[in-house]
Parts: sequence; structure tokens; C-alpha cells
Amino acid sequence: MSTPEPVGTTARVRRPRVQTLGAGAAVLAALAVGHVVVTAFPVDDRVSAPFVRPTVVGETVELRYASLTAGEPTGSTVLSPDTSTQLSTPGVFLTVPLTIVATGQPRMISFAELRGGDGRTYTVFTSGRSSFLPGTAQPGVPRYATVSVELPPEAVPGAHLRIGLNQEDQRGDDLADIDLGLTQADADDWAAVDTPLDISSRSDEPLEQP
Amino acid sequence: MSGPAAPPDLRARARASGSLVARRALDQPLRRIGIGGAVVLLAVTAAFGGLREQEKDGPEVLAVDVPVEVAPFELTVHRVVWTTDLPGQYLTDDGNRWIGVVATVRNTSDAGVLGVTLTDTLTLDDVDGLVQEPSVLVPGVEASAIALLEDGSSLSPVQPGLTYEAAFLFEQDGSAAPPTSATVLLQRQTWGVGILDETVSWRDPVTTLRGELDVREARSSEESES
Repeated sequence: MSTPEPVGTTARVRRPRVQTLGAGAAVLAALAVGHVVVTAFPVDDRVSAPFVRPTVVGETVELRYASLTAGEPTGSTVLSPDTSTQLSTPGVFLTVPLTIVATGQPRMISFAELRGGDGRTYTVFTSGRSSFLPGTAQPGVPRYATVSVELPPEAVPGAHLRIGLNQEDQRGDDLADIDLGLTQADADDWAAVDTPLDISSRSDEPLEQP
Repeated sequence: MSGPAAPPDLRARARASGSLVARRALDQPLRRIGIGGAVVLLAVTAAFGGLREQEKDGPEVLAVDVPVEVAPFELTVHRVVWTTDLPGQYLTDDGNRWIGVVATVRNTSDAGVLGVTLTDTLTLDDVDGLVQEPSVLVPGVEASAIALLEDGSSLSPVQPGLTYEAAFLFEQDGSAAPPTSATVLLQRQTWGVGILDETVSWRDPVTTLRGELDVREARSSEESES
């Protein structure tokens, strides 16, 4: 038995064609305008870019989550960290002492990377041959930590150290950009040194400078 | 010859609607609709690179002491050796042994990468008794550790512009005989985002080189000198 055709089916099918086409065209036009807005202008990059706060060695920079001061960098071809065995490199190890004073609440600052003078980026992780792990800084209490980075000597002159709060994601937040003030002479000196550089990774007491 | 694919009542409704497109579509025989569908499917896949010519049918042959590009690294595999004693490295059982693939590693990208990316790059196959389970991401078995020959430390991060001499270490059960040969697989990776994960990273490893290499017992430095 066939089902009787519902009343009004023909009317639905015979909707005014101009109206249907107009609605379709409007949807397509809206999609096209949206696509142009998203792709034609670099809105995404600008909105999500970190707020870069430039500074130099010895000068405190105020970030949303902490104030940060970088000490004098030093280097060698051999590193003796307090958390692992002695490391040797075909390049140089660069170390930078940092003083962190958290603002407002306890902060675990965990992002560091080095922008080499050669234009390349040198990754720093919480452990391994290039590391930074300051632990939790309590508000108002200075926290001392050392960043160590392995890199080729040609990347040393003009290198900048970048420090941020979140290791995974720096978008839309303050990011310290520290000009380390390094030269080719520093790179040559460090590449010739094979005396182990003793470093302490973190402390609530001022770190002993090598 | 096949008739129209649509049932008669549906075709009648299409005729009643006055739509020329609907009437023509429903009057088509099943075979023509199938061919049309296949053509549309082919056109859609072609738009996403489905008809692009494949570069290679399979992995190339890996030779020792020849540098090869496996993004983001350049690797030169020198030898495969086994040993029961490796300072600074600890076996899960004293009776086991290490199989080490000794290689020169260079990061050829413009940024440092973590050791996990290097682990995906070189894997081992066709060796009995490997303690590590085969990887789910890449063919073969991944190394338990990648140690620098210079200081025995774990090679991570791998920084650009530096040349490292390293050993990819695979643990073999002591009850299995030491291998006389092993298949070394090298995987190339691509910089990009995933389908569900928008994080930009090195991903999608594809085996581009494969070599069956001889395995010998490692000699100490004194033995090598004598």
C-alpha cells in the first residue's frame, strides 16, 4: 500500500526559485567575506603574538607574572651541572644566571629559548643538554636559576635569550627578550676553554657565579 | 539494459514537482549514476592530490658511511655493534646486551628539536629478542636510548649547526643469540600540523631508507689500537 502524499508537498517543492537562489547566494557571499577577513589580513598572528619585552644583562624587566633580571653570561666546552653528569660539546655551552621575583601568586616560569646571532633558534627543555628548570617562585621571594644552552660558536655573537611563563604556549603573554651583549671574542674564548663550568640549576639563595 | 534507478513513485513526484533537474536525475539508469558518481569521486580526490605522481615506490637502500637526508636530520650510519657493557647505560637485566647503531647526527633545520623526534628517525628490525616492543608510530623498534659517544649523555635537544657522534641503543634479551645482521630503517618527517592537533611539529614519519647491515661484537679502544 502506498503512503498518501502529504498535503502541501508540491507547495514546498515549488517555493519561489528566486528566493531560494537568493538565500544560497547570501550564504556563499557570507562564507566568502569570512574567508577574506581571515586570510587577507594577518589578524591571527598579530592577536596571538606574545608581548615581547626587550631588556639587557643587568637590567630588570617587569613582566605580567614576574620581574626578571639576567646576570652576566659565561661559557665553556664542558659543563658540570648539579643535576647530571659532566657534559662535553662539539660547540659551546652558554649559561645565563637569572633572578626571578614572582608577581601576585606563585609562578613556575618554564619557557626559555635562545635566538642565535645566526638566525637559528636553540631549544631549551626542562632537562637534557640545554635546560632551564627554576621550579616555583613565590611572590616577593627572589628565585635564582641558570639557563644552559648548547650552540655552535658562530651563533654566540648577537644572541638573545627569551624567557616566558608557559613552556608550551607563549601566545598573548609577556615574553622577556634579553640581549646578552655577546661578541665573536666571547665565542672564541669559550670555544677554547675545556675547564668544566659548574652550574647550579636553581635555588632560593643567590647562586655562586663561576 | 538497466532501467532508471529511482522507484516509480519517486519519479512521479519529481515529475509533479516540475523540477527539470530532479526529473532528469531520477530518469537516469543505475549504471550511468554509478559512473557519474565515480567520476565525481575521482575529481574530489584529485583536488586533494589523489592523482599526484608518487615519487618512490619504496625505501632506498641504506649504505654505511654515506650521509643521507631524513628531515629534520642528516644521518650517517657507520656500523652496528653489540656489547654487554656500556658505561652510564643500564640494562633491565644483567644477562641482556646492547645493540648499538653508531651514527653521525646533524640537525639540518633552523631550530633545535627534542630527542623524541630523533628516536622516530632511526629504528631497528629483523632482530630476535629485542626488549622494546615495536613502535606503533613507525616501522620497527625504537631505540631505548640515544647516547653521545663523547660523554654518554642522552642526545636531547639536538641543536642545529652541531655535529654529534651518537649510538642508538637497543636492548636485546640475553636468551637470544647475538645478531649477525640487522635491518636499519630511516624515517623522514614533515613539519606541520595534524588533522586533530594544531600544534606545529615534526610528524608523519615515512621510511625512506632501509639497509640490512652486518652486526659484530664491539671492541674496546685497547683492542682497536692493538
